Amino acid sequence: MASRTGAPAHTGPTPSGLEPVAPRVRWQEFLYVAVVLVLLAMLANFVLTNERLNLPVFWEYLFHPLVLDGLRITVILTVAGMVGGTVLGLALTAMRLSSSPTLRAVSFTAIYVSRTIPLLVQLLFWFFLASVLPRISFGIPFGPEFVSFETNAVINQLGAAIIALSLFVAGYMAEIMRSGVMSVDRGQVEAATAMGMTPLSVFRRVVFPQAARISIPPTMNQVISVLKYSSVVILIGLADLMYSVQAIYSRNFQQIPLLLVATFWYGLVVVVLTVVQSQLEKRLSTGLPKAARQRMKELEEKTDA
Amino acid sequence: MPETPVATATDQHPAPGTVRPMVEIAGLCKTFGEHRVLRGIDLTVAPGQVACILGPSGSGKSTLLRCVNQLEAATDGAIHIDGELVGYRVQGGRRHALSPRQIARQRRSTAMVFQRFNLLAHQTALANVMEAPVHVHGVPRDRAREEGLALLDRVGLSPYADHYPAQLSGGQQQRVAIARALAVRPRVLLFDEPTSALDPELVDEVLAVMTDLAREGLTMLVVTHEIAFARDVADTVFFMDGGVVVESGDPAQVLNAPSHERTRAFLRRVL
Repeated sequence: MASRTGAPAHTGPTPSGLEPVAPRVRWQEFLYVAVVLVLLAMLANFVLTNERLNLPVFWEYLFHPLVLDGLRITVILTVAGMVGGTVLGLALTAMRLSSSPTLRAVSFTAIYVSRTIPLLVQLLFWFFLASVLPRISFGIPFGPEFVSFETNAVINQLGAAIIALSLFVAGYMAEIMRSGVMSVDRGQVEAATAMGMTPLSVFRRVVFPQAARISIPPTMNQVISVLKYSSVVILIGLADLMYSVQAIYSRNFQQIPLLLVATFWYGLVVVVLTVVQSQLEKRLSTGLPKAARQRMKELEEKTDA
Repeated sequence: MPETPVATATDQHPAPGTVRPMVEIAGLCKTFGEHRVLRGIDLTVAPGQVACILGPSGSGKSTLLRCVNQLEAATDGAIHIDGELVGYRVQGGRRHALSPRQIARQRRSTAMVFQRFNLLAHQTALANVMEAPVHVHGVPRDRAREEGLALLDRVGLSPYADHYPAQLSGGQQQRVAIARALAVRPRVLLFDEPTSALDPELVDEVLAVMTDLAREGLTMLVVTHEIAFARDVADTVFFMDGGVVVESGDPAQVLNAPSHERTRAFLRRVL
């Protein structure tokens, strides 16, 4: 058995009768560990002996109903924003890669707009839409209307936040998916095309499964970004996680313990997302050279047993 | 598939009008921007015959093959496969380009083996062989599986049915690619330099499979640098250079006694 670095692990003479190989001692490793331990000790000292930090407040509010309600809104915003943004982004990608110059231009412009307008501006725009468009109506353009709604009745705080997040995410997701599609080897597309597949089948059977695999890490980055960006909704008074802890510390002035509460919950969601990501990657990694090696090893072990 | 005797090039050439050619190319031109890759190709392959296309790199061999299954659209000229005009519908004295769906339908009469194998990376060997029968031709999954395993057995790879392409050697991948091409029972098999990306010691296993197919009477259009294969297996050899067919005919005659200086120069370099 060779070690990871390739050095043989013989302690006695080797089978060929050569001198045994002495393991290389990495002295600098001890230094790194010492530095890390000192820093951890300093942090522990700060947290445990500092009475101003007021940790009991952290525990008191960790499962406070206001905090949990806020967390629920944050998760809803993240999921809705990502779903909306992904659906719109997929449409933009399809248009961007289509053979029609008109659709390509529309998609290019939409992606530019989505990525250019700051999230905060989009959020406030949709929230204040009623001031320039009091009623939303559906019908034939410049012709009769079929139904119409009071704008403020359709777009409340949550509605404005979901629309803004979806439109903000759409541009980024479109680019993530486009890069995934373009990373698929041209030969894969040609092989499927030569089989007599229609362009839609080529996409569904070959391009999408291979592009999805490559798009997972950047998509997860996007989810984590949206999770945290969603806190801008406090500006329109939507009670998300940040809004809730802010509301609490504006009354009891325990800013740091409550910010730690928010950090804990954001962190927990990211941990869950990371687990989901690694599972998804494992699922979709069939045929990758690395996965292939792993499978080969399993097969060998099976035949050895 | 039934065993049919090998057709030899000259004696089995049908008199014009008796047997319909399987592939008939007339006046084929292809231009990429300013670059004229094909400058009027005429080429005919009779049913059950093997045609090898030889020539230096950049002579347009691969482009010619890719025009036959419409991976490239020809700039001018006509291709007929089994009598059917490729890529167009003639109506009212004009040619109308077919839609992508109609072109996809036409491609189903051919199958292609690529230089770089191009096996679907996210599927096993067996799934690659089953892909076109199940998802293009609508063959029931059970039957496609059975036939797929038989085809893998025929190229000597049944133990590797569950392996992914990345787990196979180049020669094994190319044999899977050949099994995949056979799975749709194509009227014409197209080979685009099938051994050029292989290590020298893996070339023979692929050529052996191709020789078997030729003996069984499949119609094959083979772009290759393997002069020995062309000499032993082909019914007709076409030598291309600069986008035209310089010389064609019986392999013994073209390869042993070429009449053109360009053919002679090429053969001196590769032999």
